[in-house]
Amino acid sequence: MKERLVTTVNGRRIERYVDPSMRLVDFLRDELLLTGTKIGCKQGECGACTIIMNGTAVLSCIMPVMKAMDAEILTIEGLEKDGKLHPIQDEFIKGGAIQCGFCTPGFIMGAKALLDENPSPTSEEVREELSGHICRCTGYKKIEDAVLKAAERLREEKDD
Amino acid sequence: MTKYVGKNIPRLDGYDKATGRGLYTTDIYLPHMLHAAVLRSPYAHAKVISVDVSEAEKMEGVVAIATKDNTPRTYFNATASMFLTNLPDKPVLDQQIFSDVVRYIGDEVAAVAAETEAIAKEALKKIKVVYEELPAVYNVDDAMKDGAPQVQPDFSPGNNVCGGVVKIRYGDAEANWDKGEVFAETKVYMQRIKQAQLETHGAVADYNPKGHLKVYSTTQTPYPAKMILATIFDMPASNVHVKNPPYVGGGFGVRIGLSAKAEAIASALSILAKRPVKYIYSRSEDFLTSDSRHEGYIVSKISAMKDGTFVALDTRAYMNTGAYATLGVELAGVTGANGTSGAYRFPNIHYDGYVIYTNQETAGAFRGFGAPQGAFALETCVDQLAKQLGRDPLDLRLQNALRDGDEWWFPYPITSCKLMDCLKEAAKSIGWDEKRGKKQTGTIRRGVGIGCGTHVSNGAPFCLDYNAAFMRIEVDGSLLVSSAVPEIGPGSTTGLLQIAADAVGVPMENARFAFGDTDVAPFDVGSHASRTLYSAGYLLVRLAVDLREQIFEWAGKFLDVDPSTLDLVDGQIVSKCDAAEPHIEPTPLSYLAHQAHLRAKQFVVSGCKAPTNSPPFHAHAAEVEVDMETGMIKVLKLAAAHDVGVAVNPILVEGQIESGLIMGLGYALREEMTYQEGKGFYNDSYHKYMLPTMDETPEMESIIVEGFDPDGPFGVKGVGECGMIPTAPAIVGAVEDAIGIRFYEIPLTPGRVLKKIKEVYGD
Amino acid sequence: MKYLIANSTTEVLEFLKEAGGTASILAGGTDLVLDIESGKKKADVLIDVTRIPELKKIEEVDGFLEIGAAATLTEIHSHPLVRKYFPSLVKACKKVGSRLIQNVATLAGNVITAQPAADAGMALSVLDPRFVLVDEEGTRECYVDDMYAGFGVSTLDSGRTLMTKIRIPLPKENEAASFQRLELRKSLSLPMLNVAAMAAIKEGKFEWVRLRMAPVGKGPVRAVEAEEWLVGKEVSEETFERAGELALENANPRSNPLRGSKEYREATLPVMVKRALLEIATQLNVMEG
Repeated sequence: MKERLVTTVNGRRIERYVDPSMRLVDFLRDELLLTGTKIGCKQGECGACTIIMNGTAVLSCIMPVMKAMDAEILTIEGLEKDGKLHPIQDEFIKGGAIQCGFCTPGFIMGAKALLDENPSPTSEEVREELSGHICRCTGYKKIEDAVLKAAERLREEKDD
Repeated sequence: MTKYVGKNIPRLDGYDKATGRGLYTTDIYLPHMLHAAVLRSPYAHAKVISVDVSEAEKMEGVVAIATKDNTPRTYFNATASMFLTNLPDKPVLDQQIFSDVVRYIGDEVAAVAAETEAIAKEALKKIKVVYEELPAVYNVDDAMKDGAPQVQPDFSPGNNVCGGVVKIRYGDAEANWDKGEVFAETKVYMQRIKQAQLETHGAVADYNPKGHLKVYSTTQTPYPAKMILATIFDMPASNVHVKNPPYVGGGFGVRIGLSAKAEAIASALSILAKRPVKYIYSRSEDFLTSDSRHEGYIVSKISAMKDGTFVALDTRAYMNTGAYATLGVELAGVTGANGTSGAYRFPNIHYDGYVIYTNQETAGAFRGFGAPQGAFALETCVDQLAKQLGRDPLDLRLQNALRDGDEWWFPYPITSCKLMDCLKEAAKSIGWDEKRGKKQTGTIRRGVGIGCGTHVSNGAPFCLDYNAAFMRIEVDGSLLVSSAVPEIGPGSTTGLLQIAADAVGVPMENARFAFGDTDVAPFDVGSHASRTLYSAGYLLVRLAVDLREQIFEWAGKFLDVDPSTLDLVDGQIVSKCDAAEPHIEPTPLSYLAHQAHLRAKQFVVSGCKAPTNSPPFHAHAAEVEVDMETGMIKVLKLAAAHDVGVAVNPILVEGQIESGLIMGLGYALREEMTYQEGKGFYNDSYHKYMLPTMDETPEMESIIVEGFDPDGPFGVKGVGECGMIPTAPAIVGAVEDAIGIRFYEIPLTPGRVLKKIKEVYGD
Repeated sequence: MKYLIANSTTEVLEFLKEAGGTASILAGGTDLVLDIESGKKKADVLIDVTRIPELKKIEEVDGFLEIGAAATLTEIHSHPLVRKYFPSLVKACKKVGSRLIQNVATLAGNVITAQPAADAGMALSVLDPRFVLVDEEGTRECYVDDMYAGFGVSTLDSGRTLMTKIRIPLPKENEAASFQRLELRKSLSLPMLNVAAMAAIKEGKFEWVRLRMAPVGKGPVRAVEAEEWLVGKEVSEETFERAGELALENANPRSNPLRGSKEYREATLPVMVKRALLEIATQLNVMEG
């Protein structure tokens, strides 16, 4: 039986009838074709499916779709504003923090939630907070550096 | 002077990947597309007596069911070896899509295509299979015993040895053995580990009943995948089109050839259903039913003089290759060639590699391709020899390290070698002189260790290696390079365009690389063996010469000057600096290309080249901390110094090194596939497989030792796999320095470590 | 399947009654969603309780810290009151899965899933928590040992009973708690062993000690022998070591293909106990860490 879901995704109000046993990631990918959110394990163990819901980074792969009711969802597709990359995206590209790229959208969303909450994280905090994101390509070092650089830029932007 | 080579150009695919726009196989949604699920064997070894699909077929939403009864029975090898094995050798073709015998827990039995994945999975439960269980064998020693169960009786009659014993002979180890004065011998055991790349295997196959098969997939070698599919389904290769969409979520060797069987199964179903079929492996399927790294053991013996000079090396490797050959045989060659012989001056080498079938998940290509196992064996033995000689292990390595101009057993020369510098730099970074050999007491003890090695810049001479590509100047003067190389993560396509733009003399902004697609370009082996930048770059610099010649010839006529006086710099046709005056007015290539077009001419070249091979060299050092009460090891720092020739894009090179370091750390300390008889491997998910997470990363220093290889394009050598090779030896050596215990078995899980500590130190 | 979003405790009870036992209460759902898919658990109706304001509260009430059952682990470990009174609980909450899991998973869920090695539930177990449960018959309070029925089995029936909050008595000045974890990986992994302790120290001696360990049996297992022996003992390295050995008497760890053999767990349990007691002594400035 389908249930009515009203939610906001990347600023767009969406109303759909959905199977409540569906996971949020499948709704985003299969129904809305927002395929930037990836599935790496579908068990909440790799972070590739990370999105931001009501300001918090969450794993969309183990989340029942109905949890999105009345929520504000931000996916990787909603991060670039007016053709301008978010500083985290930009630093990931410049800093070699991307290789195969499959973990990248999740990592960037996780990093955004982190920096929204803690604009000046230490290296250790970055590592600890983002350790739910698995990357098999980079060795993580360049990701850590990119997040710290983005944090610095975001602080500067705020000061300006 | 190069404008792009040597610069940290941001990756060209960065934007796609950072914005979520970049497509991967899992992102392909075709109209009318079906979803697949696969039924797998619960037995390690059994005859499949019958597969009854009648109930499953009746389910609403089920469109096709593939079994051994309605799919081709062609034998194939799911990896590139099927088309790249050197003459006169023959690849072992021991796989079928579905066969009469299942040979490991997880082996494919049937597949369903349905309107949704949920229906497909539900349908699997209604397929009735009758099995007749057969005796099974799970490790090398048991498999080699007389009367052992036969895993592949048709391909290894009587002994489970897959493809015959791999032998390497150089000098005469036997005759010269006794010339040595000191003899070291070690036996090491290494575990099976998994690539665990982030994107699971997948394929979307779209069969057109007129006979054309198009497959989007995660393969890291589109051409070999295409050729294998054409063979399996008995189709003209020209009717099979394989493409990456264009991105692939990691490779590490696991999808050389097909992506496990994703392409074959999706295609078989699409042919039956006459509709597109998408098959994406679950994480658990990826862990349990695709190639892994070989586990096994290696016995190494070194004969040396009292002064430390190496005389001879004798090695025997026994590797568990699992149920199917895939790349096992080729891999055993590399284990002996690059791994166990290492980067040392050994005038005499004897190597025998045994690749043994067992009833387990297949082992095949995985970053380093047998070299990490070999390096662990050899470096352990070198450390042992140092101990026997009372020598500093770094010192002994420096004494025997290969250097420029040395003879060695490979059929190609050492074209450039900065191994000595690598060893010194890595040691310096870790603080070798201050830290090594310092007596440790208390609960937490520290130590440092070192290891080194070499690898390849492509697959030759172990397998066929060449590329073909197109290069053209578009009507507006921009450059389009078409090559079927894939982009599996390292940034090869960015590096290659840096090379192409410099070689042709055009700005990168006006250049593009079309890749990962068998319809856009002719043959390319694919990404493996650290080859892509080196081998494809090797071809592109040569194509650039042809392209420039073509441009100059036409421009010469058009501008009425001698073509040999012309140059192309940054997109402008100019006179060569040393050309006689008067020099021409710089002419934009955009103008020239358009003028040429209006006169029915486009600058287009194509070509095909087999590269030579240039060995890269590297040394890693590690500092560790051991908790004597729990056996926990913490790596404090890893230092890696690599001779990669010229670094085309240093930040991308560092990325490869750091990546290998962390993977090597996992290999040394944590990662392990554990087999449970009757159940299969325990590690079917990330939380049951201890690859390093971000909070487990130590301090890392990657040092690029400046070099230049005369054979490599712009001086380049391979790097992709190197970071994986000497990491475990460095860590295990550091542990010995810390607590005085040498471990001959990895990974150094706390249980293993504490057990030894208690044996040596008591409770 | 039906998905109901409850706005009050009363509504939850109504929904539960209506479903007649076929429903399951859902908070973070990080385990439940996978358990339903794998067939381990069944539910025709899911009742989402995460939007009930009173279930989200974290507050100090009459000498107790009260944590709403729908408060996430992140909300708990970042809350100033929890940080002030229960650093060991903060430490353990940060050990559950990863930050991404902690952002939706709850402490209540960590107890109700009843996995023996659940870190947050373990750290909580020695804090003398009271679990406030509501069902058709009314409200009642339960203690730790009432909650665990077996490996991964809770005494609480999520089809009939709602946990509304967890009440933890605030520590006195001479009391402190600790949490130690032996782990193969800091994140995304279950522990090989974890040990939680709480104690009161007076004049250099233990007044009382609560000591629990896992996974060495059903739920957080009490090291009764060690607890009793420790009373009145000098706070010292030797005492910790003896307590560690005594803890083994109540521990029956099993071998796990990944997370350590029985032998290894037995060899390291005393070390973890020792470190847990040292952590308490350090917090109370009785010893240096």
